Amino acid sequence: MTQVTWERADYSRVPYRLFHDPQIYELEQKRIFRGPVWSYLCLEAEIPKAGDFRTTWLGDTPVLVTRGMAGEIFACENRCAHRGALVRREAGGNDTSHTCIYHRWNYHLNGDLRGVPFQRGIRNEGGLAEDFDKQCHGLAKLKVATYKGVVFGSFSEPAEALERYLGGLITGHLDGIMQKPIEILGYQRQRILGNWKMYNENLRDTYHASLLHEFLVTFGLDRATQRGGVEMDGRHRHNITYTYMGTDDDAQAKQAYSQQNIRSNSLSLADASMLRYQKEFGDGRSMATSSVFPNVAFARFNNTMATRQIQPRGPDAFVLVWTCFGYADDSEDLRRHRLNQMNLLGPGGYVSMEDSEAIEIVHRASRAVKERSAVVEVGGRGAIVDCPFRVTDVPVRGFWSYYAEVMGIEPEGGVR
Amino acid sequence: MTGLHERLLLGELLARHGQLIDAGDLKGWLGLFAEECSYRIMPRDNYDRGYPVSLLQCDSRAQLEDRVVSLLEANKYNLHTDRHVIGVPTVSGHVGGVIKLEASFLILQADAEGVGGLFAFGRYVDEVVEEDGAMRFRSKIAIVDNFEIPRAISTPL
Repeated sequence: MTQVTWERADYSRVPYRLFHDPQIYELEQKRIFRGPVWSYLCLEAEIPKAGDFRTTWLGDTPVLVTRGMAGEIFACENRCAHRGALVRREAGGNDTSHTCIYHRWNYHLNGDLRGVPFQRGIRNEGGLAEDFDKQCHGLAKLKVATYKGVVFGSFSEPAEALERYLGGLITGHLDGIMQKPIEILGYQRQRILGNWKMYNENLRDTYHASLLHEFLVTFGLDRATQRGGVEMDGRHRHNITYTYMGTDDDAQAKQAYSQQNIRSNSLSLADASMLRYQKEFGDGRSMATSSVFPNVAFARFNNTMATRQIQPRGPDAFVLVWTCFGYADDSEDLRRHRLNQMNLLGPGGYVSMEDSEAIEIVHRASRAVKERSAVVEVGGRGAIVDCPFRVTDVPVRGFWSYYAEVMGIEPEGGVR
Repeated sequence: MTGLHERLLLGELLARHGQLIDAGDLKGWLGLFAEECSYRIMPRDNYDRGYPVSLLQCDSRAQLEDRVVSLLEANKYNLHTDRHVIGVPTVSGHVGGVIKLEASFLILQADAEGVGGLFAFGRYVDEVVEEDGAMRFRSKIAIVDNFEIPRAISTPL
């Protein structure tokens, strides 16, 4: 039994051990990634036609997502039921069935075993016994559910239906971002040398946004002086960070930041076209980034849109996959603008390159102090509540609260 | 200009590209680009499949200058030094005054404690013009084979 000592029941102290301990990582595989929560798999737009498939990872488990002949979506373990080989090695494609290269075991698109070469041997010698039941040797199946073109899966029987799991907060966010048919614009991938949970924390910590990212402050893209805040679902497991552009003025921001000895006007851009925001969502928010437990963010940042999938690679690294998209009916000008604005994000983004560095330096420095804890109490202690302000990391405590529940490591009287 | 002379000048341009970045002289590096220019870093996966998303995209000299100023003065990223190894370029054609070339690259990085290794490898697909008596990049695309980027991209490839 894995025991974790929380110094405080409101998760305002987070043991560094949770980022480094291989035992914790193994437990996460079982309780979270193979547990009863819904995880992000891909977008329907990536597998539009019958027979389209994509491979991905859910924790350490390889997963194969396929569009069936009747338009339904199947997800199963991408691991041959025979000897455990990857069935599909490519990132994606289109086919009428799935065949493992090792011994050519062949599977229907839904993962059921279809054919085994030499099942009866040759000249009645060899092969499988008469009582070999193909029905018992399919690819292990995941439960699949979609919301507005976003595909989620779960290895265990999920505790809740997908919409209930996401809650009105996240379904509302997806109603906005997936308001029209989307067009995939491409992918960005990076391997960050830190624990996967640190990315979830980063997404929920608005305190850092305008301190680490001087670029955002300078150009008024994201300043703590702007109107904005954080909202969580009822269980505090998901979060949305939002900002309204143009709700502060440069003089006010300059004053607030100069009092903290932070430069807020050190740069000017020769070409500011990247910063333009063309209003396209009803809620008036220029930035709204969600962090959905356990492995995805749906982000709109000005006019860029992307899903960011977190794929853990052991306790000490994770891969972040950015699936960037626009709308199918975008004008040529808007499409070009989105691509230009993507300079802010991704592995080489003006903003995002700084998040990966912040995560790596925490991971590197905290290894030796596994029994000590990080301090998470900006924006308040005790109850975990929405904040209509930006100098806060309360949603980080929300993440840990649900994490502890799913992992079965809640402290006595743990705040939910 | 003879073909041989042209090859020497192109090789020199590519070598200067690597040396200026490795020396941290990004302002000097800007001088290798023509007045009208673009510079992109693309994942090989997107490039091959026709997806337009880049890892870094500067479609004008002004955008390229902005990137350099931000890297030098505002952005925080992993402390490192770069080392470029650039292969012999092949010229695929001349169109008007534009020379089209390709060359392989290999970039190693070392961190602040002197620990290092392979960071990125791929190829440049470039367009070069003669401007003010010197070879300049009009368009440069660094296509990254190892498109699962280790850590992050900050300094140019």
